[in-house]
Amino acid sequence: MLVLVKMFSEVIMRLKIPLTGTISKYHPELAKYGGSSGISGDLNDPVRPVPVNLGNVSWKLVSIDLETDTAEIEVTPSDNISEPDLGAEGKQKKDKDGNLLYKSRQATEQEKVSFLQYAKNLVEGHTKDELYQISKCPRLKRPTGNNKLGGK
Amino acid sequence: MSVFINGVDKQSVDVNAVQVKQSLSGANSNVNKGVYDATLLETVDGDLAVGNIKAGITIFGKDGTLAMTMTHDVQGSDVDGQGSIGSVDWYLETTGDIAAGANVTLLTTTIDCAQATVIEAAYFIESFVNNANTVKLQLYIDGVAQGETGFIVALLGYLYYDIGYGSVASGARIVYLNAHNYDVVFADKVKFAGGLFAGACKNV
Repeated sequence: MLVLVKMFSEVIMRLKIPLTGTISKYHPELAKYGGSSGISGDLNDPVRPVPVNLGNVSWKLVSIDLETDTAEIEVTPSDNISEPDLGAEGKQKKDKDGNLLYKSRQATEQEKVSFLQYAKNLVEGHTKDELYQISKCPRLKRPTGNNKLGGK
Repeated sequence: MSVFINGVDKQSVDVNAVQVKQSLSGANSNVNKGVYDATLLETVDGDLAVGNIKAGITIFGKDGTLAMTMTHDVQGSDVDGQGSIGSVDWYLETTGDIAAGANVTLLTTTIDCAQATVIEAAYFIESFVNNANTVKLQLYIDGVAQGETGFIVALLGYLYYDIGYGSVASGARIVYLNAHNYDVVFADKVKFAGGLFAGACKNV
């Protein structure tokens, strides 16, 4: 895990997470620019990190490694958290249709650290096979007839 | 052959020894032989303005400022019509129920830029009915996930993705903005307004 501290003490984190989806095309001439520029994905089955719920964090793609079929993502804790909107009696309010209402507030610094810790534990606390099982997604697929480009 | 009249060298284009006065026209690109009064090109054709030139391109010394626009193809029903905020076209959508575990496309668009560009996805959540901490927005470019928001509990959010130099070669690239419900038990509903737009195309 790589933890970076940006200006204004914003803490971010990098994780490596397995990829799923289907590669539709390679762009080797663009691969040197990093990110996802070396490949295109199937629009109906896009190349993406396995869709496990990382919790209240956002992430941006940093790079894709086709040798290990993983993505490096930069994870940032969310600034806001949602919690039940309670009435005077301490009961959660409902709208006219009976749906439970929520309100958002700013997350504390401690909560933000816990958001990152949750994501880290989830990804680094499981093997690749376990993450594929949790997400119920298959391994990254390559264009038919071309399975020679990396992949483990 | 040079012709001098009253000691002043004249251009060689003349009819019956009389110089032909020429003028530029915004209707065509012709620059005929002759003499011209001093002028400014943008006076000849008012469309020669920085706002009409694509950003990153310079024409006759005018640096373009026009950000590339995108066409929008809104998925689902456009319930409340559309407005605009700045240069962004916003589309107000009620997504309907996002089924448990489902991934729904909110907006899709196509970009075509010969060089690098910046893709920005802005969203405004007017209201949401969900079990809290379940729905996130995801940005896909060219069939590859570029990023994901935190749970959309705040009413205003902004996704900004610089997809970097060389990431977008010439040719169309399809961009999706999706909503993903991570709750595998309950469906969620989000009233969403958002837009996808591209910043200036940059040269590598």
